[in-house]
Amino acid sequence: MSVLFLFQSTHQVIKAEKTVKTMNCKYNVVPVPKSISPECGMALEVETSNVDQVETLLNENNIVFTIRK
Amino acid sequence: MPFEWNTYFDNGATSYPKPAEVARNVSFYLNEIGGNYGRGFSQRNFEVSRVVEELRFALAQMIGAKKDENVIFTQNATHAINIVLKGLNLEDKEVWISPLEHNAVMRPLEHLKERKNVSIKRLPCLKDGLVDVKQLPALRKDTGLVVVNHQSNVNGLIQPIEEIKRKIGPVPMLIDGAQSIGHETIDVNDLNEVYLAMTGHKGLLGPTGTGALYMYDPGAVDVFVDGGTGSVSESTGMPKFLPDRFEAGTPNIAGLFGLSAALEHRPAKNHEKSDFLEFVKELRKIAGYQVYCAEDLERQGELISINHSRLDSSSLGERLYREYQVETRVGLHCAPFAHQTLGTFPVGTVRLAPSIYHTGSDFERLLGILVEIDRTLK
Repeated sequence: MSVLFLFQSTHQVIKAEKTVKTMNCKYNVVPVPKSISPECGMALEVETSNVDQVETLLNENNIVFTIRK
Repeated sequence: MPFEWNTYFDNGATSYPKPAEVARNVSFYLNEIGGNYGRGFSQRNFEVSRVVEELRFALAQMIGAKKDENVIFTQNATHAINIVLKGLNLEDKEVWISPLEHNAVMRPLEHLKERKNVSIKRLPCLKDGLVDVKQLPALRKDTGLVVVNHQSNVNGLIQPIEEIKRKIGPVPMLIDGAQSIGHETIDVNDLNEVYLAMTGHKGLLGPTGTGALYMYDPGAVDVFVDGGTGSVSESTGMPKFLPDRFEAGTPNIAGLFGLSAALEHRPAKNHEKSDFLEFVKELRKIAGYQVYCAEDLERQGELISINHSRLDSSSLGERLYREYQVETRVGLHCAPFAHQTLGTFPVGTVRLAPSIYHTGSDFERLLGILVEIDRTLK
């Protein structure tokens, strides 16, 4: 099972990926599903077991995000 | 280097050579990666976006900006300056300028003078164009902006931006860093209320068509170019957030790949500043030459202008090029206002602008050539 981390801008996605990369967890860069947003942008798909850890780290780095389960 | 010594002294116009990695990375993008910034999720688009964002971060670090999203990419320093001058609400306000401004500032201000009743005032200065901070009057509270050309593209003088900022208090300052960035240290965090216009192709050794703008208060600046950003596409209005608000349209990705490589592979300087200053001091001893530089060499950047009493600037520049393959730039350097301050308008000067690639012996060689030319004129 996984959840999606969504971001306002490409700037924030890249920052988030750089941050998550420092953790020992699997993630994927995926397109934002059209059911969520008409955006052509990117999102991070993270395993459910790592969500709390990722959320904490992103908050610590002042990266704005929303989570879609 | 095509010649046996570095004859290119026109780095004030654009730098040459560049680190080899610059062209390599531009080619890498064009031939092997492709893709766009922030438009799609594929590996190539992600890689492009990553390189652009890493570059933004590196530039922000370089200038001491705490928020890297406040650094936006532009075509050049002129573009960055226009964003600030035309984006701030300067209608019916005073704008103070330093005495050595370039047309990148003067022309947009002339536009604003005609259309928005902006009043242009010159900061008090000494003979070499150095802002005389002690003589600076108290500015009106509704002063719109103070604009300072950090390093002159005519005589290389470096303005005391920290002192000026302290004196003007909370009045915002726009720093034209076209010549200084890559050579001089700037800390926007220490300076507080500043906008900093930068170019990528001069001191930073990147490709032309690259530049950046740091904005301390982006909320005060109106959008300059509206268009697609790859974000909030459902709306016909521009995004409120940075950097997207000021980055409509596909950026110069090939150029930004080059600039990224230029920062990452910046070569060590081949000479000491004292080598350049020694060259200036020796040149000043030759009676036939008038050297335009800072009176206090502590305030001198690595760029000067010269004239000869018995040869006009065009002819001197031509002799340097035809007889010795030395490339300089003659004329007004797009800075008539600066030349008026220095008393060299409208005849102009010959500008000598080395880069970090020049060696001490390159300066000696150039000095020898200028001595030789002087002898032929006696």
